[in-house]
Amino acid sequence: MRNIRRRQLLGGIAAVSTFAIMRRPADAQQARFDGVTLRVATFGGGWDKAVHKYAGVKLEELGAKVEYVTAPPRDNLAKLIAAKGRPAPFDVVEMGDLTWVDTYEGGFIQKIDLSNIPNRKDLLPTQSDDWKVASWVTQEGIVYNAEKFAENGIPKPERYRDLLHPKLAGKLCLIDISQAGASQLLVGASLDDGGSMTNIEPALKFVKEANPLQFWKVGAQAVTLMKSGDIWASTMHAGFAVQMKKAGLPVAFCHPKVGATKRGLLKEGWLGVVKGTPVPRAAEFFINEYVSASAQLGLARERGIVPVNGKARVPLGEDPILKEMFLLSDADVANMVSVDFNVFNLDEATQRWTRTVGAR
Amino acid sequence: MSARSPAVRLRRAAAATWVGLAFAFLFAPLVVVIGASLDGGERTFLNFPPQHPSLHWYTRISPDLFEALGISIVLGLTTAFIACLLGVPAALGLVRAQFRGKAIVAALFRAPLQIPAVVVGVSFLKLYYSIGGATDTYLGGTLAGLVIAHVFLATPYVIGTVSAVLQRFNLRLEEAALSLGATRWRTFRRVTLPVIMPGVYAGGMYAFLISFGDVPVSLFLGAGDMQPFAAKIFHLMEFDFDPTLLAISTLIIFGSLGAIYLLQRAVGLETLSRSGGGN
Amino acid sequence: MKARWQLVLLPSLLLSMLLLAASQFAFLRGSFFKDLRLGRLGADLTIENYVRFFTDSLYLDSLLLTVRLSATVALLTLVIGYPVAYILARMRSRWSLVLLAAIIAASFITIVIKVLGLIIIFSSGGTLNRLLLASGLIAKPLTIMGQTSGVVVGLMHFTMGFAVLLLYGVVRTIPRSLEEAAEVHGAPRWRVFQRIIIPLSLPGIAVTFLIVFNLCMGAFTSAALIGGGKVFTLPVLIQQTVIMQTRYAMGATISVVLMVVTLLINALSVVLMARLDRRKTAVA
Repeated sequence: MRNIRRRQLLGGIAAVSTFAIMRRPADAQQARFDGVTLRVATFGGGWDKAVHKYAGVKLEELGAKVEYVTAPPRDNLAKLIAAKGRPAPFDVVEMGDLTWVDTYEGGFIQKIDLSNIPNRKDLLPTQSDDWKVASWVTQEGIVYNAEKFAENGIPKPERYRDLLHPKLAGKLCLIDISQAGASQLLVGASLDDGGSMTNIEPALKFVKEANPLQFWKVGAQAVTLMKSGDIWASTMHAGFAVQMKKAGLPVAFCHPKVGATKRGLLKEGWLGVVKGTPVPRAAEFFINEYVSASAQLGLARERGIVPVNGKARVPLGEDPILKEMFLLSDADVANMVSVDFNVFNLDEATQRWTRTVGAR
Repeated sequence: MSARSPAVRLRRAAAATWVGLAFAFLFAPLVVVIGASLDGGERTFLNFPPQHPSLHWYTRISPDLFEALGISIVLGLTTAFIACLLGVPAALGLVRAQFRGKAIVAALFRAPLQIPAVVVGVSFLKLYYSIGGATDTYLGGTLAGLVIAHVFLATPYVIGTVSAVLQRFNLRLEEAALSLGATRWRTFRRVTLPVIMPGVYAGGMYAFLISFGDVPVSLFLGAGDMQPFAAKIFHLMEFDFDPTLLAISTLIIFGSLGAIYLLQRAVGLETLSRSGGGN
Repeated sequence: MKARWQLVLLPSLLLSMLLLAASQFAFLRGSFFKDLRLGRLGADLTIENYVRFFTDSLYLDSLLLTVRLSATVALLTLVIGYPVAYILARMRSRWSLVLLAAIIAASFITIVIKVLGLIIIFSSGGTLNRLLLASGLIAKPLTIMGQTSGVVVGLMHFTMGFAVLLLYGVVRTIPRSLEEAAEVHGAPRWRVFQRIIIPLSLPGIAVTFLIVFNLCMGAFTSAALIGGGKVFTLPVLIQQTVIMQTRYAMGATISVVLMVVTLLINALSVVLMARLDRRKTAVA
């Protein structure tokens, strides 16, 4: 069994070999997780299956059992709140970027022993700290029907405000405030128009003027409308553009310019260890496997996310569609806008959004 | 009635048109779903009418979905059974007893109908954690936990349908049985129960439907392997649309038609629907 | 004898109240404390949340919208559903059972799937809109997404099956012989309706109206999916407040208002019905 484990650690990623030798003593101490059950709160919709395939099985090979609690991050946060002061309902929690702040503030997660996450060396420095490790990245922007744009003489969008083109009236979807990704739209549109992460007035003005056909809550809604021709453009993440392109739709993706130099918007998923978990070591092992190059590459190919692991981004460039839709080079990724949730107040933004767009 | 005057014929035509339109309204989305499930062409979208007819997606339905469906059926049946156990005596009491504040008691029984399902979900989750803290028994993510919350939601429907039947029930039948020396329990079993049975079946069916269709409560109380079908579908749609959903929905449409056929053979649909509604 | 029926009622009442009180008490109690987010509450009792609800147009407008929407759906459901129920109930062929079975089968399909079907039907390039546009009946494509009217359509898909089943039961309780007797005596059809069928099914109709109304007041899925993020009914606001903003106290406050308003409307209708009933008996 230990051989299998070592082979996996080595598998395909040359640079890890030195690491495997370095880690040997630790391996000897806790090489197996017999009898351990790890409960992981993550997304449903098949994401849990993919995570299990690429990360969960590694833990199970060492004798543990991995269970998944599937719900949107906000619902899982509600479960943590309900469980407050009592044993946690799960051990590892996957959060959207907007849920992370609340989960941290609420005191629901504990410090991670980063020495147990060797794979973080392949992540950007901002993508791991004592409390969280980034699990994936999506790139937020605009998916548009290039054919319809060309037919109607609408110029290719370069920034959010290009969506205010008169010919796009009624042909537009925007992401709903309840979805992870809305914060990127609000911050991106604000920064691009004289606002800031604290002053989102320009973005609200943009949202009101855009007056979209609808704000999508379920990705399938926007995809269906795109396919039927009801809409020609929607703010979504690039993974959707990949999906649609592979299904034969003439779509293109715009990483919006933000201000003078920045281009594109990052949204990260985060993994945390739930406070009071009886199995912190298994949780950390799972997180390490989750961000490994092989798992990240598998998740990217299968589910359309952008890997956090730099090594996994390289082979993605060989896929022409992925290359077209994603920003993959380290320089490009570093030039993207990240929302700072310690500054951006989603709670207030949600209330103002509701007042701005509510229909009577 | 056998005379087919022009007026009668006109009336029949109008009736048929009305029913036809109402059914078209009710079934159009389902027809589209069934149609789109037969399209084997693309992965991401709904295609109607189907452009590449195939049963492809039917072969791809994940075993998980069937498992979730199984959970939902067990959950629905258990919920219906317990809701009837609670609802029948409650209806008997509400209709037969005379006491001050009866209207208030009736309103209290109806209260679950007026609590938004999201609130029911969050509040039961909190309740389960409180119980868990005190007794070390955690109901969140268990079948029992789901059953309790669904019984809470569904019992008012049983009370409604059974009350409706009881209100039309002739008390003299019972009195006659009693005067002939039958015991109270025997009277209930042999006289009262058969008469209110249609209401019980109907209430049980509504209870099943409420449980089977519930999303918001299951979202909070389901977990891991214990995820009812409707909530599972809601999740699937939230992240990524998967055409196997259309396929399994189509199977459910036909499956429920089959179940209803069996029900008709067993108890008769007439019975099911002869209950009127509510108090 | 009378006391006994109360005893029969007692176990159910105790159990139901236990569930109601245990699950709702802590949550609703929260509405009287200051909201500190993340499920945290202030220490002192306050009616601040209620003041906020009744002074903020966001919540008041949403309350009005929810009541208006629910009443509209309940009314339309009855207007369309009652004739269907009546016709099915009076049908002499086996078809009535088949149609009834179809309605029940339709009720098994989750509204989430129905909504996807609706989106395809009402898509601007879809068959329906092409037909309507070609026939000149409409000038621009019909849409239901992001519209209050669309939410009404979605809710009707949610309630129609229930309502027809309930109303079918109501009509079945009116003896057919009554109608036939009236017709034999030469009463015109509309008079039979006006004098016999409608008055006799009125209690059932009222109950169905209330059930549908209550269902809509608490419904979340249709408004969330079809409303396109623009139609904020109270349940949508509750979900947003509790789940997105983790403001449990404010969420509880909205819930209390929603519940009390619904109860009041129900009570009012019951009183009205009782008065109507008394007048009828007095006339008879």
